Amino acid sequence: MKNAKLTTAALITFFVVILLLLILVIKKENILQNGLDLFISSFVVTIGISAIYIYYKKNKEQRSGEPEDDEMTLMIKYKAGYKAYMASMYLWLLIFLFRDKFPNIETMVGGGILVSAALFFISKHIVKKEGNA
Amino acid sequence: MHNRIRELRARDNLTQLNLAKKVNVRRETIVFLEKGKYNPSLKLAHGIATVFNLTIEEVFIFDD
Repeated sequence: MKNAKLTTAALITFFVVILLLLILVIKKENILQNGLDLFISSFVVTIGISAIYIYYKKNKEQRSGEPEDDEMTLMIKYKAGYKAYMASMYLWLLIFLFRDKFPNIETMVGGGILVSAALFFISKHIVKKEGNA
Repeated sequence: MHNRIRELRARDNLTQLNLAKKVNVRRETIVFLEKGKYNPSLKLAHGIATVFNLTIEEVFIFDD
């Protein structure tokens, strides 16, 4: 029960952060004219929508009495985390190699963090597809 | 390795969610087990076998 409350609090915090980021991006309309920033903005929106979907799914599962994590989901998280970490190292190497292509440092770091987060979700999907059998 | 979870569930009239609750895992894990995409731990295999009143070897069949 305590875990469920913590998850809900973490998810609400996540939504608030996403919402604030969205407001910030939309307010600075001139930023949206830049191609890379437009890509990042749409990426943030996608993550926000996915977060809302995950929240409802998790909430529904909790109400049906399913545990939040079990041995398989933990295995998936560990494996996906390792894969995402390795991929992120190459990503940051590429980002620093092409650092002069970015309009500013904020876009570079922000974009890198967002892509790292996306890498984790992609890895999770791959690990789920592969299974362990 | 393959297993008889789906068949035994049908025999005992259990849904995936019911079985998942009995062995304290997520329904998703039962789905993966039935598809043969996940090899359970000894603890989970024992738990599932106990639900069906069978031994681990009778539920999980090891292919040569």
